[in-house]
Amino acid sequence: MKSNATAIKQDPSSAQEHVPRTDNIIAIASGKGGVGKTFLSISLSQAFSKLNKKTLLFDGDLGLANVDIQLGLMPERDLGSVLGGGINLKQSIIHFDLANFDIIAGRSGVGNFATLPPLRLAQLRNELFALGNSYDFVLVDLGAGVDRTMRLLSAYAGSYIVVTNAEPTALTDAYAFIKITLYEDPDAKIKIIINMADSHKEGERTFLTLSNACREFLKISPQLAGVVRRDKKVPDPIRYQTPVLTRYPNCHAASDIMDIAYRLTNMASKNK
Amino acid sequence: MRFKTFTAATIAEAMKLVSQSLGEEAVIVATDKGPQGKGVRVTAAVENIHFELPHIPEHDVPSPQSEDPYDVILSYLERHGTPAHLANKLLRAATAIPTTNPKLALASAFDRFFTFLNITHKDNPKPLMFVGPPGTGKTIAVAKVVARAVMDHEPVRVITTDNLKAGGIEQLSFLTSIMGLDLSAVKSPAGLLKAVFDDPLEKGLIIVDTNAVNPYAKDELNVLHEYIDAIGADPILVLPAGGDTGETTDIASAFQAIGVDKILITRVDVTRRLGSVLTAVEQTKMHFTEISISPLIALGLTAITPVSLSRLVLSDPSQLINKAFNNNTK
Repeated sequence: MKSNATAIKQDPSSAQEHVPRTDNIIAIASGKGGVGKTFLSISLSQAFSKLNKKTLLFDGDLGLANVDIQLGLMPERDLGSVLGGGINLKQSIIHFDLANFDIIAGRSGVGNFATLPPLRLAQLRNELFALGNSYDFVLVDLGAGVDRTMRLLSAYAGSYIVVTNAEPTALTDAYAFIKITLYEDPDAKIKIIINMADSHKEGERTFLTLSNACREFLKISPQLAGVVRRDKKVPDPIRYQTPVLTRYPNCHAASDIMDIAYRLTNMASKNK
Repeated sequence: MRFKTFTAATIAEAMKLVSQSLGEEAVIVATDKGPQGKGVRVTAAVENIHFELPHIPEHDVPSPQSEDPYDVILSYLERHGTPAHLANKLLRAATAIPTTNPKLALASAFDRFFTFLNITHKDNPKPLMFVGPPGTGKTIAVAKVVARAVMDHEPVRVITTDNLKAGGIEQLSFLTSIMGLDLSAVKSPAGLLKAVFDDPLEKGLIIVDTNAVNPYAKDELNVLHEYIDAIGADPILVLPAGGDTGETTDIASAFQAIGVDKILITRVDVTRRLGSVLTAVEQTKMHFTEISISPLIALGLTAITPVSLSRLVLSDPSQLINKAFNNNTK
């Protein structure tokens, strides 16, 4: 039986390639806010850099950007300048010397980016993915929640890292994020980080709860990217606006994050 | 010429009504006593009368205002009554190709999540069996497929199992006799098996019309399943556009449960909303095949593709069919 689905490919005006799925683009998501997503995005970026992987961190929390706040940056150029039309996305990149990775900062407190028209969002995403050719990894720190803006911005990322902790509300929201992502993008690769776990064992139990729900209801088995233990030292670097791997490179959380970076480095290959 | 009948107490009053309704040029063609012998009944006629039809507004539908192609796609999907989760899924896929043309972008999304098959392709040796609940247009769909084969000089045999509906066999028998074909009527799966294999067609199409099935009655679905299995038929669900989204999806799911994986959409010319069909096909992963865009037997079965479906969804409803299928209608 012949499929006439090929019709679209025979139409010369539609002979355009899909945006390729880019393995080195990692979207960091959570569902629920306050589970440490931005902290992990920053720390993972620094961990990749320590492994000599050239890394770009994109603050994709368009409504409430805060990567710059956590790092005490006062960037002259940020996403606001790009969307205002003054500069292109590449020109908005700043190098964060202290941790040796690149950042495209959002603009905290300017909520109207969250209502960007879908075309502009898709263009922004495509420009970002194109920039990814010059990096080993691009981390997209997404806003909390499951709104359309966020889903369009991360569509066709190489993988999604969903950050959660053991709280039932965080797990439920993480599950909701995974469910919606897979419905819209059935081939999406989902990995999980359990943050603020009392121990590795407890973190793995939390992961099992989530992965069992995914297996039963969504028929997929997400990978565990790693467990980050609760660490009293973590709030301190955030308060002092310094990355944890700089301030306390040997603490539990730092060592867990380095482990995750090692694992992701082996798992993900640069798609050049 | 149009005729209209008026009833009044007297001839004079009736004539006044005629004049008010049809104008001074109306001709009286008959007069009679009124009902039960009271008053008078006058029948008048007039040439070329045109009724002023009211404009039927579309209810609760936004008009696409934006120039953003993805906003346009979303507005139209909403206009068709597409549930938000499916609209967002299609939108996300639509952003995957670098184009600002909404029709291409949506076609690409349809291409990703829907499949489109040509049911009457010469390489398909299976008998085609048209199935569905009552009143969806199965028999007309059968007649259209048969008419197309006849016009293409392709051998075709028509069989019906529709022995329950009053006039079911007669309707199809009338249509096939016009085309110079015999109609075999069978009463059981064994009878169908015999009709198909006792005198096999070397090439060409075998088309089976079936009696309507209640999708929520397991015994009826089971019998249909037996008919399908008996001859290894390629079953095609005939469903109308414009229905309730949940109901259409439930019906499609019921037929999917007995192995039906293709859908032919009818009544596309008399509906303005395709959201129910998009949802049912997306949920059941059935294959789109053809759509019926005219009640005329000789017209209006058209193979559907991602591009034509996209055109259909993104067209002004008043010009839906013409825009989507110009130069493409068989």
